[in-house]
Amino acid sequence: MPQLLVIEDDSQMRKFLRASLTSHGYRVIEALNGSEGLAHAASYNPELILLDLGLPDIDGLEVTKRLREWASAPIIVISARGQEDDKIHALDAGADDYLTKPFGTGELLARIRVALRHAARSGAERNEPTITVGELSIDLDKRTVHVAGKEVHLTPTEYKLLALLLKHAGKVLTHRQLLKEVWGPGYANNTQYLRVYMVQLRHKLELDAARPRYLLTEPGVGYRLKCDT
Amino acid sequence: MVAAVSALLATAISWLAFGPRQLADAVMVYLLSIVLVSLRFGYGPSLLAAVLSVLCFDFFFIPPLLTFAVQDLSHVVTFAVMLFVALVISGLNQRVRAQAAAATRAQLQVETEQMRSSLLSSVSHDLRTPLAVVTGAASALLQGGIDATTRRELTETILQEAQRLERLLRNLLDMTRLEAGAVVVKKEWQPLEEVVGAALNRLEEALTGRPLSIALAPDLPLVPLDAVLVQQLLINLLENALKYTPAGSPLELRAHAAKTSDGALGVEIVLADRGSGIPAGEERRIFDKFQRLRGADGVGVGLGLAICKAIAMAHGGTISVSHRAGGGAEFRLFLPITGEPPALEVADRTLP
Repeated sequence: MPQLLVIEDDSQMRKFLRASLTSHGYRVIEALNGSEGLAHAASYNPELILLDLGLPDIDGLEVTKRLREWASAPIIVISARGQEDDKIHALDAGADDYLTKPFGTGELLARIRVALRHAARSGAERNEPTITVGELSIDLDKRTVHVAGKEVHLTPTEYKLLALLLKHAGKVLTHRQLLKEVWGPGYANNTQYLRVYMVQLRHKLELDAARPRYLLTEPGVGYRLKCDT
Repeated sequence: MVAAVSALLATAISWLAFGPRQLADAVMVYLLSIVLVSLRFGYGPSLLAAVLSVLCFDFFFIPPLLTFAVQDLSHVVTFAVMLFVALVISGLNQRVRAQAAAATRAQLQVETEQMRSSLLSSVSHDLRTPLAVVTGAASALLQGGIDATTRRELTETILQEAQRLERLLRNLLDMTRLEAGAVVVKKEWQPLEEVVGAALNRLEEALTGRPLSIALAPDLPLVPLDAVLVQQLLINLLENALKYTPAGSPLELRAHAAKTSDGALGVEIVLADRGSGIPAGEERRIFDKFQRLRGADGVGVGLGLAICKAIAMAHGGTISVSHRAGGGAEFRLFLPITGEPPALEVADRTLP
């Protein structure tokens, strides 16, 4: 039974999280503030951490940074709408994903499943050369991409970008993370490159580029390759 | 500046009209100029005009001419009277002005107060209704003795009403922040297609069962915009269309490069529906706060389109609605393109 740590100061919110998580087979440890959260994370070593960004004692971003100094368990931050900058900072500081309040159980469980799966996969040796999401598949050895069985030709940059998104399927990646990985650290602020390439990719891979099924934009934050969870 | 001009003008006029002999008439012209200045420009300038007028009068009219020296003591009395009159007139004038301003402020306050209370009553009604439903449904569930189907229905009701509350609150907060100037518009050059895609994705569920045709011109330029805000604008427009047009009726979203009548370049985004259209004369009003079309009730406080307008304006753009040929409404959003798009060096060829 996977053990999750919930760091949340609001008691009703904790009640909701406890109820939905325990009924889906997770064991829940609760912390009411940042310092308790850090202590619990160290003593229980949970498999995943749900962290509210608005805590009474320590700033959620600070908690993320301190956790990342030693913990590798995925962190999903919970924040309010309109706090795009907070989300970006948390993600860049090492959080794995975010949930925007208010959210439903479906979204919560889907994010947790994706994060746990990625954690499991990066722990084990990744030996499967192909990744498949819906009708999209990529062969990392042969460097080929197929959509619904038909091969699609990509430029080297498009390929790198798609491979990165597919490796993190289901997870949000910030503009900065994508730019650093694909273009290099010197390009971390050239978001327009990223945008133009995402448009190109969509036109090559999506049925209708204006209504993408896979390559989703998270406005103000980054991109997410959608996968069914 | 104004005072100097007026004193010089008065000097010129009196000199030309009366010459240096008719002192009384010259004094009148000076007084008139001071009154005019005080009427138009207030206390400070009129005082300065009075002092300058006295100096000019002395210099040009009082013998010995073209000096500031005074031979006849009675002329000093004239100076004093001129100054005194100027002081009294501008003082009176100042008081009248202050009273007028206070009256306008009071009037404005009454209007704001009226708007605020109508706003409060409409907002509190719209907040209370879903809250009442949630409270009622939840307490019914707690009491028990309800069959499974009804239980499910009640739970669904709670969820829907909570979502309605969330939308309402979101709009209220957005509007407040936009009006308070607390929203920083972070413009970045972006493909419009991406923002459209993000908005449609957010409304995926609400759009199911709605025929929606999308026609984005293939040569759309990059547009400097705040993706979060413009996404919200598009969501509000689409939600509006979904709310006010019959279920299943088709929607059309188009975008193309455009130019305003005064030559500004930009893109135009059009959302066309086949609903009952906007009644003539209401085309402007529907973008005002807390305005809903007659006959449309229980669906919001009338902030969605006002937010659209505020976001469009924050981008230097415009939004309008017109009648669509064949029935329905056509909302047009124009976003200007100013400045130079960033250069992209794309040295990247397709893999063999």
